[in-house]
Amino acid sequence: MDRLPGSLVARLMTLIIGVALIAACGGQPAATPPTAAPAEPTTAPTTAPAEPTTAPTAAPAEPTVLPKGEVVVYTSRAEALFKPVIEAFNAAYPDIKVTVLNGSNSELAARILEERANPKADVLVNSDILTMENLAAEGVFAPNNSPAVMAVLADYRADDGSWVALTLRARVIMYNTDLVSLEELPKKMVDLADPKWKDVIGSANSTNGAMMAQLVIMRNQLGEPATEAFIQGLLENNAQFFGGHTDVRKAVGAGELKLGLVNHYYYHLSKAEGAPVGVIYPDQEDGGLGLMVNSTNAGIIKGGPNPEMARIFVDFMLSPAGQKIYAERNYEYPIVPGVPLAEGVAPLDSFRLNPFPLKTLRDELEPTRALVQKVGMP
Amino acid sequence: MKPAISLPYNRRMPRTAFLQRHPSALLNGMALLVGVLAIIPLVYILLRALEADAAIWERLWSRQIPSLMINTLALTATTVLLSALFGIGAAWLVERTDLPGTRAWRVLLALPLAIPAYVAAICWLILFRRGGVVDQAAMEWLGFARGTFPLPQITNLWGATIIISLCVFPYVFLPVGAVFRSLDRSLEEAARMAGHSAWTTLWRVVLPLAMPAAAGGALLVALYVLSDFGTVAMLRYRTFTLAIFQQFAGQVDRSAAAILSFVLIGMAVPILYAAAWMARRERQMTRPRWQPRRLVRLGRWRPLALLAIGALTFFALGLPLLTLGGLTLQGWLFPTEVDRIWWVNNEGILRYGVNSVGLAVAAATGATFLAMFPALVAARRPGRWSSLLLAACQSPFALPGIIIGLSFVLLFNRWAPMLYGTVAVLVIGVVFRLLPQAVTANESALRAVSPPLEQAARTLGNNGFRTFQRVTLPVAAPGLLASWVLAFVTAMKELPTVILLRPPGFDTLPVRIWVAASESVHTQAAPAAFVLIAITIVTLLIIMRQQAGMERVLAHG
Repeated sequence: MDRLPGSLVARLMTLIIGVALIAACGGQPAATPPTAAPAEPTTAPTTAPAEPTTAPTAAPAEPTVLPKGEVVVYTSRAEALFKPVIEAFNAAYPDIKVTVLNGSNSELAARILEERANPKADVLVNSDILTMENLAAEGVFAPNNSPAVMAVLADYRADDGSWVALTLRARVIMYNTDLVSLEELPKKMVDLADPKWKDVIGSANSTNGAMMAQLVIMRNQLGEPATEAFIQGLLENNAQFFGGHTDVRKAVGAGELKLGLVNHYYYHLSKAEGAPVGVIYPDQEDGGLGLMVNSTNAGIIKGGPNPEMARIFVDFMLSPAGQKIYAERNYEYPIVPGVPLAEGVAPLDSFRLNPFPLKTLRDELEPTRALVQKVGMP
Repeated sequence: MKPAISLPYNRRMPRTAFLQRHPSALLNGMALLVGVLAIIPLVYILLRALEADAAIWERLWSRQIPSLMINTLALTATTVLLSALFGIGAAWLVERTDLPGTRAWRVLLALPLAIPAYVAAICWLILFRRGGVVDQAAMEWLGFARGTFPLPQITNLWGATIIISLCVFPYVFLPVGAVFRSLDRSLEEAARMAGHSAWTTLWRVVLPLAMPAAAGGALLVALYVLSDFGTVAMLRYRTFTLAIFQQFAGQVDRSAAAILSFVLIGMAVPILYAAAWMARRERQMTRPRWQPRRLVRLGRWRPLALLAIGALTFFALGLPLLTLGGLTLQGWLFPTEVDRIWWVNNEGILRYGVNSVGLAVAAATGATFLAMFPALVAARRPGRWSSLLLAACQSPFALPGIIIGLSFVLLFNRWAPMLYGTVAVLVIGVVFRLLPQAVTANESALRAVSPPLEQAARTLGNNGFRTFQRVTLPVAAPGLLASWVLAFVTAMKELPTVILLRPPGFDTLPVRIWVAASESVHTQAAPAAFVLIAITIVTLLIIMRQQAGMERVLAHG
């Protein structure tokens, strides 16, 4: 305890040297990622060169002078998915620096609202249509009449382009093929309330936008009592409610649960990982509810620091190069027609789709939320 | 800020009595300012809650609040009990018995402080979830079929209790250990002479003497549980903090979150009061004449005791370190595409590490500095005014970091928009998050300076500022340094405030851990967590060389 100061210094030195050594040891593998990294962008540019030929249609005047600047993007998209988008964007626009802030849909929405007087973000890219519509109703987005936005089907964007869908995803039921046999599988969404599925269902909780959007549609199409019975059934079946779908798909893939209520690409992601999973596109019978769809979206923040760069970024997300990444890497349905789907993804037009327009989801959000709270869904 | 303070001392009030009967107006003014700033988040939340629609109050009160209250209180109670058991048990074995390796255990059992509970939760999830490391191993080597190996269920009350307790028991272990070590032998001897066995002496003399310290630590544990956010979020155990966070989901109106915060604060306030009361009581227990303790011989219980304490150390320290270290090594040796995307390489980790350390140094320095004013007032002028001041400064302790973050977002947007979205605001937010802890630690460090010393300096013609500079500060330095280190470690681990206040492009290690873990890619969270823990452990080890300072702080913390 009463050491000489010298010995303390000596100890500090040893520590520092130790830390330096560790850092140095770490430094060696550091050399490998950079060599690995250049190898990778070669795959990204292979997609990018295809792009400049199409991108100039959006910005025909300036093919020679590349825009320069910065764009701040708030996103709830998984980093693993978003980073390739930025890499592709920078391959096309090397002089635009993209700064990203990750967060959940709700975190970012709260943040954007609090920042309203003093916006720090240029673009919001999120995966929750309800949040998007809420924010649009609060007036945080700037209208965007870019041709790329206006080319999107009117059902999948705000009329003034203040938000636009980027990709679509379908609500499906995934199952563990080791644990569930084909004949006993549920055919309809409401079958999940059947007591025979006690203790085996995983689902996102009501804070998840895709789940909430589904409940809004069900309430509108099936009526309040049927939707209440559906939620009640999930609760009585002791369904596991997770904050997000990744946990659901992992639990189903690992055999912790038999059925998972997820967006369709979670099935493909698990399948790609080699998990024993299958998928049901529910409610396809005549007169049935139909497949329910929701969207990922982008919007330009009103008063953001770099409005021009923001437009370029959103246009890029709607270009084939930008669309391709989500289609290929995350098995989503591109909003721009003609972009090829990933292998194994069944095209949306092969299904009977629920007709409820996404754009009006928010109008029925409040009564649905009241219902959720009344039943006590987590 | 600094010149504004030192100038008036030097020029305008050279003769003002500073540390004695007449604290300067400036000192009081600064202390008042700090106190006011500290309660701003609280006021913000109260206003937001009170202006909320009565219907929301009613809906929450009838639906959510009862179950949240039960969940939160249950977790608080079980965690307090378990960490008291761990902390007191370990302290007794280390300080009162002839267990070998006393010094090593002292250090090892303090180190779990460096491990944020949310990181520990990630480690346990990586190991024990279905499809996790243990499950895979059981399927591969023990021949279990998929999904059949009996795994402990950790996403519930008991999992959360065990994981949090393993991270926070040092709050009990350190102060109780200090008491055990300094316990006067004559008391025990008196008990033995009065005919008590060693066992009843333990129960009736030794443990009661350690009770105030244990209770002080237990209250800290309780406050930790009430404001913990990351751990319960990862273990999906719904407490108030998690519900508050979830209330933001898609909801433009944030009054529901404010109401829940209101109730949570209501639960924390009594605990804060009790903690302050305990700390005061405990100071009266110290006595001047002292004989060294006598150690209990463990005899044939020795192996068992070693096993127990070894197991505690393993689960609190070894398990997280091995898990994270293993995964980090794996990432370095076999980098994958996912790792590249997550920027899990040295360059990425280095940048987040630099951000983290920079933020922690700035915030810890700011908090220790600001805390000096109320601490000086409290240490030198105990009374109604100073206890009010202390209560104000400690109020952020009762607030979940997310509320502090949000209120600063709002305040800066409204009053200083040019500052908003800068690192400066982030530092300020974290400073106020650290303030309660820094005030308490600074106060006990300053209390250690005996007033006669200062009086002597004054008699020799030094003015207040010089006395402070030449006498008070040097004598209190070890305690103040310990206070700084503790603030640094807390700032390194801070998650919710940083999530909300970080400017785009400024991520810290905890934020990386959080982002990775909330996308359920736990493996990619490992390297950042490993580096975070390594930095905090090294810091703690350095300061533990000055044991006196550390214990003084923790004993009264």
